[in-house]
Amino acid sequence: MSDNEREAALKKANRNVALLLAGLAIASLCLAAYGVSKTLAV
Amino acid sequence: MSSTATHDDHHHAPPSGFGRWLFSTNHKDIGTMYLIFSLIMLFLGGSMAMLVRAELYFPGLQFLEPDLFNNMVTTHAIIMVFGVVMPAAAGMANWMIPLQIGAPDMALPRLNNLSFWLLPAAATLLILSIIVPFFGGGAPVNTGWTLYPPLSVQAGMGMDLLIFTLHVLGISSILAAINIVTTILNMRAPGLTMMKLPLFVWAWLFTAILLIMIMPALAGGVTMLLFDRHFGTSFFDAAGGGDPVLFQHLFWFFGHPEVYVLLLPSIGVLGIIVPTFARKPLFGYKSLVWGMGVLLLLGMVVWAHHQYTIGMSVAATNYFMIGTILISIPVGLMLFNFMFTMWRGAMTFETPMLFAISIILMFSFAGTTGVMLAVVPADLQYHDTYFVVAHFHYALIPGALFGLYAGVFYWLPKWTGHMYNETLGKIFFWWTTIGFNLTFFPQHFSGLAGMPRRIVDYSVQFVEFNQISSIGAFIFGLSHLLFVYIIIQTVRGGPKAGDMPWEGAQIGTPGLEWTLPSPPPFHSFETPPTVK
Repeated sequence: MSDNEREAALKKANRNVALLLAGLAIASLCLAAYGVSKTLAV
Repeated sequence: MSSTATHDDHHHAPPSGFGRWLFSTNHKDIGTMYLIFSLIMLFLGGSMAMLVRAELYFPGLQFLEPDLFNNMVTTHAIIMVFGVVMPAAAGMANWMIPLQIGAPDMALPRLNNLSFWLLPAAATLLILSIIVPFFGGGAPVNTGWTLYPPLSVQAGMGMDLLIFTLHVLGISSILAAINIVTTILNMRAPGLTMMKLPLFVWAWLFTAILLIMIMPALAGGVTMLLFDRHFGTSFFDAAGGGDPVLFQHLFWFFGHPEVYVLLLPSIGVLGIIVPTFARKPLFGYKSLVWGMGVLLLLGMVVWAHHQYTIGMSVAATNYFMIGTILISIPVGLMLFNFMFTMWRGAMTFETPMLFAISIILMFSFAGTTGVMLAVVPADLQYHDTYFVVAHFHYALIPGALFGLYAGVFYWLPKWTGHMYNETLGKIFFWWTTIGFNLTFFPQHFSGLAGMPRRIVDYSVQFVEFNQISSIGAFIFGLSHLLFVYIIIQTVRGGPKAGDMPWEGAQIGTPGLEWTLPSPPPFHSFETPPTVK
């Protein structure tokens, strides 16, 4: 694997992990929203 | 793609002028900017604390109106949490994580630039929130950092600016956290497995994961507050079918783990410093890593111990009490591991080690008062008194701030290429430690005697305790002028620091920063090092 190919693969891996973590943040927000809706429904 | 067609930025000399800093994607430059920003904010937040302590030197009103007093208390807290400790720890992470894991830079350098430059924007909004009440912007933000409704719904325009401040800070923190986790997972040098990572890197991995999970809850909570203030919703208004306690849950779901966001980077710094100056490998490295993981999980599920007085069910109260007391197990494990690392070590007591030892002692004290506060019937007596103020300052000043001071003294030779003045460092340690204890130790007694927190006036029976606190606060505050002097002196010159200025630094699970010269070159680890 050449340096360029390695760098491209690393960039892709970085982007995937970053997107996964952004998904975790959004999931956390959804969980909080779900908790709010359940609390207000009681 | 042809390799000859690619443009390699890494062979440029450092850019010059303002553009170097504004457009920087270099982890060292961004780390430096984080650290300088946090130092400026330390003086701003510290000045507010000085105003508060000057006002409280005597009972009665001296020179601060009650609303302005409460605004100072609120803004002091927000600056110290979001403007000082978090950026300082992020600055250290920016500097040290790539160097310790052998990476050329952070995984997402442009995102790194954005994460930092959001901070001055947030600071501007925060300062505007203090100023607008003087220009017809309604009542100052007088809620304390918890921003509880209904008071926060009634505050003036400053509250809106503060809500936007928290939004911007939240975005900055989440982006920085995503960057740090990605860097640690993807950018480690070949052969550097997870269980060979320095403890500081592990601590930041947990901190960043925690940040990603908790900041959205705060962002959601303050957005709902904004809607209640301006768009006719009633999320937190009982008259409209909402519930103000709901905000408390959202806030503390963020707020309690936030304490660990502030503490964990300093625990990581201790995990580097104690083995270096005890000249022994870290005792129970794996258990420390697992302990931090357990702390993260437990920290996420005990938030309502800040709200015992709202009247939860007995079952819920018992759950939060037991969960909170369980936290003493991983925390105790960490402190004992550090003590066992020192046991029979060839210890020396340079400034970073003095801070490390004082952290272990004073943070244990905060842990003890923390267990007292976790116990429901006792907490009902202590709630909203100065006992709580004393407790969390004992947790956060040694637990977070002193850890960062220790880290600054430990890595300053690496960052600047010069040794700091050890005598001045030790004077700063003793000056700041004595000032800190003089400030906050008496507050346990005034709190136990019933003095409420966030109040501009107080009963004459508390005068002595408050005067000792105020004198201590000024001693503590002034010590930071020496801190700045030591840093400037070290940046400008001093004895040359070798590649590894601390002889014990290679013991245990050291980072790769010691394989580089001091200061490290602008672009480091262009060829990944191999770890055996």
